[in-house]
Amino acid sequence: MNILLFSLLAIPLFGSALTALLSLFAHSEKRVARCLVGIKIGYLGVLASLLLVWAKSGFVPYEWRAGNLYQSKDYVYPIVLYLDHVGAVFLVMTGYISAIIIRFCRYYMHREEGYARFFSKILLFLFGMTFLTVAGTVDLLFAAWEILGLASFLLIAFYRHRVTPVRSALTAYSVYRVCDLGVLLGAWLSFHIWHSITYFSQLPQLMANTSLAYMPQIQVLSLLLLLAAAGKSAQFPFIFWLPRAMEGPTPSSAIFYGALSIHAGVFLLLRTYPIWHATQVTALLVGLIGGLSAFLATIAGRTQSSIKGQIAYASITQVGLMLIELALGFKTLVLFHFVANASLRCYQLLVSPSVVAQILRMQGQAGTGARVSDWSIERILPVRLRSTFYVLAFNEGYLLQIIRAIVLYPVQRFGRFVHTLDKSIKGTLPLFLIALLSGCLYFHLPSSTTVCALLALAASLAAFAEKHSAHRSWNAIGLSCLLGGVSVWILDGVSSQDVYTYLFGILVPWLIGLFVVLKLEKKEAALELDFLGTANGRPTIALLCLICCLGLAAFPIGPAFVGEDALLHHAVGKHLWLGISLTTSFVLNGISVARLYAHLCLGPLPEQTVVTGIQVEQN
Amino acid sequence: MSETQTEKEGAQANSFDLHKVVSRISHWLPSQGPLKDFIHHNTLHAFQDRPFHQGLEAASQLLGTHNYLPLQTYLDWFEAGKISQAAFEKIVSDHSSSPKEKMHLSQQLLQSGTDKASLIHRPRMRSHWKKTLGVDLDLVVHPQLFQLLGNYLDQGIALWRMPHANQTLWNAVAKLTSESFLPFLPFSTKYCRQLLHMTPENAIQFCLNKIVGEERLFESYLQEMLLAHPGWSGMVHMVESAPQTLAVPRPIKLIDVIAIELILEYAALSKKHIDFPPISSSPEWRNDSEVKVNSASLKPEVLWQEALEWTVYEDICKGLIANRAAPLQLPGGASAQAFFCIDDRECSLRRHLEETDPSIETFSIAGFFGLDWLFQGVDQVAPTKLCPVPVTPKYLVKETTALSVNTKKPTVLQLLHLSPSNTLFRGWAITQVLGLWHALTLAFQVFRPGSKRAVDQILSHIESSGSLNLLRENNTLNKQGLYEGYNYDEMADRVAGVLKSTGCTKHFSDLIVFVAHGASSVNNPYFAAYDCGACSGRPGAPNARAISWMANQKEVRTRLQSEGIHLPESSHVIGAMHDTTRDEVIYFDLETLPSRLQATFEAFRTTMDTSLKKNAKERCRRFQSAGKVTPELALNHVRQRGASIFEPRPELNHATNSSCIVGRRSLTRGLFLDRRAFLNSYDPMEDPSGTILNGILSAVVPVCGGINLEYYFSRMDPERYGAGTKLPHNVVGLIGVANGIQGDLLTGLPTQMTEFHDPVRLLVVVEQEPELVFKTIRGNDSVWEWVNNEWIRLACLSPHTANLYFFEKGIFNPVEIDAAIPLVSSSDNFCGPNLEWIRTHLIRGNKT
Repeated sequence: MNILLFSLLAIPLFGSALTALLSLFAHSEKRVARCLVGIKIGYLGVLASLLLVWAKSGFVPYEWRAGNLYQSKDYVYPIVLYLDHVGAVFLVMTGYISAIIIRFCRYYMHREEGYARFFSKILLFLFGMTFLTVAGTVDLLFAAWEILGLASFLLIAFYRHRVTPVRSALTAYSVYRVCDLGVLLGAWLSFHIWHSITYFSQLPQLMANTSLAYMPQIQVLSLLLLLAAAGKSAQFPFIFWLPRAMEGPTPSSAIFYGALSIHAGVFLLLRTYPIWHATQVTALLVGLIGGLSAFLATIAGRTQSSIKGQIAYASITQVGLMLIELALGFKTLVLFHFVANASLRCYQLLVSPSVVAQILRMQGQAGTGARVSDWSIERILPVRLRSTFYVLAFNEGYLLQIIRAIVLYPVQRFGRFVHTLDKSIKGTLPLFLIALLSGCLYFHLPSSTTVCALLALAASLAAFAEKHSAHRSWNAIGLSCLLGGVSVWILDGVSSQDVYTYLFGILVPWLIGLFVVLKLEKKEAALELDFLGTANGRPTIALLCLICCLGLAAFPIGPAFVGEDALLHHAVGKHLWLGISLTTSFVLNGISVARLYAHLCLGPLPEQTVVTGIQVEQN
Repeated sequence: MSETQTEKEGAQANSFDLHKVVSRISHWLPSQGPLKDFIHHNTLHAFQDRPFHQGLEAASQLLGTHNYLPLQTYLDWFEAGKISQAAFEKIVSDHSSSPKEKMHLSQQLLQSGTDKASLIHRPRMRSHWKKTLGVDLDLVVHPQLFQLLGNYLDQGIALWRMPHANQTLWNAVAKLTSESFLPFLPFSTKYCRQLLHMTPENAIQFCLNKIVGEERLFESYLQEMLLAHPGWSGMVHMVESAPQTLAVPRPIKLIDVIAIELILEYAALSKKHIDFPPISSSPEWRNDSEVKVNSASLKPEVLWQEALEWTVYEDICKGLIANRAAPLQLPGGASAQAFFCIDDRECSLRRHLEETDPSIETFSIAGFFGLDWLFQGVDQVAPTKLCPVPVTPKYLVKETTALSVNTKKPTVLQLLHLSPSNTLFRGWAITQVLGLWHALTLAFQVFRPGSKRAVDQILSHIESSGSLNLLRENNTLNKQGLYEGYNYDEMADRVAGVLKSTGCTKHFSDLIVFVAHGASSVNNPYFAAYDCGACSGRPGAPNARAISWMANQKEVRTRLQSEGIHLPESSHVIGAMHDTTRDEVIYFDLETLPSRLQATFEAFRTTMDTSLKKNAKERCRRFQSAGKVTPELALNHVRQRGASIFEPRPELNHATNSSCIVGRRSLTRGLFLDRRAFLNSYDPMEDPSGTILNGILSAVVPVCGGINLEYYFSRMDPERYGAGTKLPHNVVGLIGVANGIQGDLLTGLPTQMTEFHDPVRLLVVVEQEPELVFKTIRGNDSVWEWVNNEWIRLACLSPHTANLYFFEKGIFNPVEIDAAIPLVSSSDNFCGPNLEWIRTHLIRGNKT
């Protein structure tokens, strides 16, 4: 069973890497298609045998503690895989829908530029989704969460030579990233509460102590989990990103936003059900968020004149209802609802191009000359109320504007402030900072940790607001990461092994990345950072750039990920505020890195604008 | 060009006249209607008053588009032999006057591959805002505007229609803003509210003064603004000029859209800075700067394109001359006569039909069969036009039936789209109940696509579910000024028209079949682009049914007698339709077939079925997923293709079309033209005055020329003229497709339809004496514009001397062409998998 669990993860990951290689070096569709068949059969076979073995053991939740990925003095990062009936349902759906989509796309994507690249991303997504469902601890779940975010980003921006998909991908990724805050802090808060790694298998026992439920930490933890779930599942207040993400090929939208990815938030809530359902306050809150999302999404969906937008909102509505069902405690119903909604929306999206033919024919049969009108609630409203609702729906509940006003603009404003400050002293701000810091350290000032963490945050903000120079932004991110590391280092009793791991994980991609960024940036105009479209012309260097970006953003491919986790573990253990500050700067850095990558590597290749002509020689 | 420029200068001298300016700009907007009426047309119709290459140059300046292939592609094709050495040399010597110059030119051409494709970028006024305020206006304004326009024009996707959508857009927005208790962003600021109280014209004036500043820049600014989203601007203009194209009427005006967009821009700018500086304040726009291109220089792309075209033209002409020299004779009288559409997709089916049974004679005529009518089938909401775009219908025919089709149950797909599965409460119930079932349906459709005819046969009226009421009972016009049906004189007139035009006026066989065509596909918003171009993008089945019914009437036949056409009583006419996707032929009204012809008909049907299989096999050579196939497997493959939800290319449609041959079938019978030619039957001997030719050319030139140029431009610039790849397309309001939910409406054809197309202008070859052809085209202004400005190329082949003349710079020049072409024994030789085009071949079976 352990081997089966392992291969379930290994097959799609291997497949993704293989197809990525094929996309770089071979251009034969046939070879890719052959690989895909192998991977698909392998995955389904392993999945089926896993479920069979599991069924034989009587559907008892199964846990495999495979060992530790990393261990230091007082910190471990264990690898734990866990399978229970919730995970099984999600696994079956993942396998089923992926198999269908892969088969579908083998024909659909025929002759499309980026055939192999597309499947590499789909398989990466499959890996992320499988990993998410079998992750046995919150930390592992976070890693899967990140992988899903990356796969989403890459698939939305599949048509990377156009600007809108790239921008939509950035929006979606930013929302994901903000919500990562929830899982990341949640992971460490739960460690703080129970003083050990939180295994999902033990959650019910851990929460059995009823007095625990009323601890304020549990309430905060529930809120964090809810934030994460809401972001991933496009619930209130984040419902706006989902329709905008319908930029990739139709099947990729179907698998992501129709079928699987949209339900990741529901999965998180199912997994952590014992935690947040322990008190009625948080359960009520989940229900409330679900209700608000369902309401806003359904009215926004009703006014959508594009078919994919309408399906996206319909999916959000159903997920909102799932949250209500969860709040009421109907866990099995939610599972059923998930399966049904995933199949229906996936199918609807796949056949969405046929909507014209269908509706026109229906109109013809009804003979009304217009859509067969349903009885709908707005007809009984007085005119002014009807207009009010329409306006509310048109503006999608003003959520995008509100989030911009209270989150994005203040951050940008502060970032710009740092930026101008730096400019007014001719870019020597980093030197001043280092001087200040060494001063603090030298004199062992008690507040040096605070100063250091705040400086890290400031550097992140500066990087976030930097719109003109890629390498400055890159350096600011690197600086912020280092400062964050130092701020934990100078705490008492932190294992230096953790710090070294982290610093090594940051420095290597930073330096390699700096070289890549400078190389790519050369041709760039002095004006605002525009899209350079490197990936279209030079995919290899773009891939290198992507890897560096992932490394710097502490994505689970390098030591920085474990290091980051270890540092946060220490930080949250000592001071919660330090943890929050570090996580915020971590989130900001992630967004800045994604934007940097998008600007450097995605977007249209700038076209030549010279007018050529042949001069006819005159005799 | 000079005309529009003087117009422009005149306008600048006077003060700014909004309506004139808008009508000038709207001239440049794409004219593509809603999806259900997808009709091929010249993408650059607005430039057709200029010679081809000059028009393209002007278009690339105005629209910033590619109009030729990248030079490297031409060079590669030259290397691969796709552009022939002979054609290259001909074009070079045509463009040079001395051997020295010729050397120089050909050297330049061969080295030109290193030049990068050039795009002309006009300096954009809007970059001013990016520089000064850091605002990308397009990015902010476009999504808002598109959402508003989509919701307003929506034909039935949204469950909840925009309030006040039956009023003008301006009023609807103004009312929504004032009625709503919540702010209608971004119209709800104080300034915008005040603007919405004005007339649109005044609001435009106000906003232009604020945003642009000086009047001299207004027109350029508006032009830039509207051309930044050509899809929506064009759609609005189309709907404004032809409101009946929408089933749910919307009184939209371009002026309103301009006003709304300017208000959106004003709101976005004033949000950044309440007193933003107008564009005219920037030094860049102090003086009017026009892009000047040295148009005296000859672009290498032009020469390469001409060389490519000449390679194709020469190949076709060679074939015609060679085939004419050794024509395939019909052995005795014909066993059956079949009339097809001129469509290039019928070219191969006719060849297979004649190859399978040499006693069958085929003709072709534009697939509306001369009927100038509107038709309303029993299951259609409104009458649809079933004749070419330039023809104004004068008749209306409604089908009636004893059965009530309204009781037909909706199909599963329809339930899915129409059931309220997207709403809150019912959606919850439906999702729970139907969701799981869809998991199974989906798997079934993806893993075992059926080969049954797709259920969503759209507006395509192909089943004969009722009786046509063709005969008019009274002579009164109906409300729309149409006659409801034809009388016998008019019927005889139509039938005689078809027979005379095709030159089929004697030696009638017992069985005569009129074969219309249509296509079938699932999951394809472009369904209308696959149907019959001569029927305004619909399947021509009703036309075939109607013309056959007419020709069978005794009263009609007696009237034909008086015109000298002796259609004997022993002959019977039946209608049929060829589904070009599925390679399937459906016959209509077989119950009227006399029993003595039953055997003849069965024989014809068998021959047709064999030919369809062969035709499917020939088509499969370009379908990579088909591989090597037998005729039976090929038929199976194409049928699955048409019914698979995952197949973005149900068929390749008109891809590779390159020529149109107007002449007797003896010219093309036994000639392999690789499905590249439109064929129109015409007997030069029966048309001494040129009237028949005039009729043919006035239908063929705009229809085939439109198809050809739409493919040409969509291939040359797939992202700007074309719709890009169709995989991420999202259907908006049932009227168009866009990328994602924030994109502009896309015009033109998706790459899946054009990728196999070799872009060359259409060569029309007419079998007639040059003098008569010249006289005919000179007397027909619209055809003359197409031909004289070289948007299509024209050649004529003398029926007496077999000399070839090519129309160039206003006259017919004789051309010498060597007529040696390869010979094969049957069409089967070409059916192996092969993506490239195959040159013209003579097919001579062993029997001859």
